[in-house]
Amino acid sequence: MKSRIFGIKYCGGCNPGYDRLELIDSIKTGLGEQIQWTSFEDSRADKVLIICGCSTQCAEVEHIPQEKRVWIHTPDFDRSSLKE
Amino acid sequence: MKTAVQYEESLRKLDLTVYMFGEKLENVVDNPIIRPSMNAVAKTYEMAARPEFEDIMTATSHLTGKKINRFTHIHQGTGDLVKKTKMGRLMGAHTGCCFQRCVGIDALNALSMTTFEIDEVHGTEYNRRFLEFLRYVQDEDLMCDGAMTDPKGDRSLPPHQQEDPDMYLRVVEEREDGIIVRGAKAHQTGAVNSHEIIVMPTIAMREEDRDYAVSFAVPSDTSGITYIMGRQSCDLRKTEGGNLDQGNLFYGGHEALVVFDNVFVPRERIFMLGEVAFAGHLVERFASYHRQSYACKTGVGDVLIGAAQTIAEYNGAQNASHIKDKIIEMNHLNETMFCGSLACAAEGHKEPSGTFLVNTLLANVCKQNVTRLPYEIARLAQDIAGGLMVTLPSEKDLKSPEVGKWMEKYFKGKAEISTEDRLRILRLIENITLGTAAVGYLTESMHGAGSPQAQRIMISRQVNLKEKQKLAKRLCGVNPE
Repeated sequence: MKSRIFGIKYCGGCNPGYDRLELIDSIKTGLGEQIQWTSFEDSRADKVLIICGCSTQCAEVEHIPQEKRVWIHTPDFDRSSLKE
Repeated sequence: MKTAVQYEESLRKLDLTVYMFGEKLENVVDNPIIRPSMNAVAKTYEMAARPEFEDIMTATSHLTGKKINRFTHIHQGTGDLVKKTKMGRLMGAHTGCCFQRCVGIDALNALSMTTFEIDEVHGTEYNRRFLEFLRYVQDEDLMCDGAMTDPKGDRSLPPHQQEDPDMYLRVVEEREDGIIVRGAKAHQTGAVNSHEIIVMPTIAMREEDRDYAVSFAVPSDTSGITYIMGRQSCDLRKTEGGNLDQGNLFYGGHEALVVFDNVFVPRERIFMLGEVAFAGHLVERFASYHRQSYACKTGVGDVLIGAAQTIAEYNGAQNASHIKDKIIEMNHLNETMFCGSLACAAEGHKEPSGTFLVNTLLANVCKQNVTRLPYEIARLAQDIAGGLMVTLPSEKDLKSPEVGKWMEKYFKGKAEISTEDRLRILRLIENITLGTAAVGYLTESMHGAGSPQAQRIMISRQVNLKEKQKLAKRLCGVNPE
């Protein structure tokens, strides 16, 4: 039974420092079945992962509520925060 | 927004008159020499639909509030200008060639300002017409060719003094319902992949050139328009049946001479008609935007640097200090081009029409770098690649039952890398530095959006030399005049 819903928002990826799609795949694998994944535009999302290719973090997020935003710009971020 | 498939379908509905190698083409879309260029434009549609790129590739229309492809957007802030720079790099990196759609966005943005300003002075209605056209382009997600460069004939003479008056596109007849134009536009990037041709004058003009001060948009298959395809180095490799020798298996660019032989333009599609004082204004605006657009070469540079590093690894040379240093230098030069394009975008400003324009001094500095740096990056890539890049036998020899075994044996690099992979990366480097893609990466970098001297003139006009002298004099005790 899936308990939480996560949205995904990407920056445009003009010059990413890592493979953003690979990262999201590894996050999905790590979190397993407990998460239902959706678009960042889905209002049901509990959190929206904002996957940015570099520290500029230029993704447009004005339509994403502040409290839902989880900014990620490196594969080395603290993944435990996603399980809270 | 259109999907890539819908875009291709829409091209099939066009009735274009296209000539190549002296023959009229019956099927433009599937022609093996042209098709890679169509693929590159189609990529601008495909990437706009992908979540991992849409933040750059799409925008919100200021006319309708709808989500649109950024290639049809009018810049509403410096953030839009920065995203345009990033879009150029992104598209260059994913196609490894000229993707042809930047001239359209640059023409649209330039006309959004110039039509507004002509109306302010002359009480005309060009901006209303333009905005109706823009809405159509955005709603239908159209590919537009921004057609500026005239053949120009004798460069020492203005349009009205040319021996052949058609050397610059001109109005030959004015009617109540529109105009008839005649002339040509040269070097038209992506012309036969376009739905619309947006024509603009190519130089500043004087009163005697009134017939040449004309801007308009017409569907690309309008009666009287003929396209004559430009050749590219190594173009026939696309017809040989294999795919290794092409270097880039999927994408390419194209240019064409577009001839307007007494073409009718309806009045609703005319955006300038005889307002000579605004011809230079339009040229400068378009050129400034287009000089920013050369961020695309950073994306192609990304591909070339990746290819150079790969061949170094395939050759077992990647740890040599001089190879590492050359890769660093390639990256330095590549990011220098990106810096210029980003800077002119970030330093943009709002014009009276509401459209944001790049910082024109920095846009010219950006493009001046682009006339030089890709050549040095290409030289370094060839240095790293080695001479095999140009002495390599063909794919057919590699597949030959008689001699293929010797190619496999003697063109082997690192043991764990297949010979074919090594040859593929060499062909890609060849493609970008002296094959079909070198048209875009090198010579287009030199002459596209204006040749180097055009930027130097603009730089000299815009720097404040007196202020710089004042600064110097103050520091060394020379009395200011």
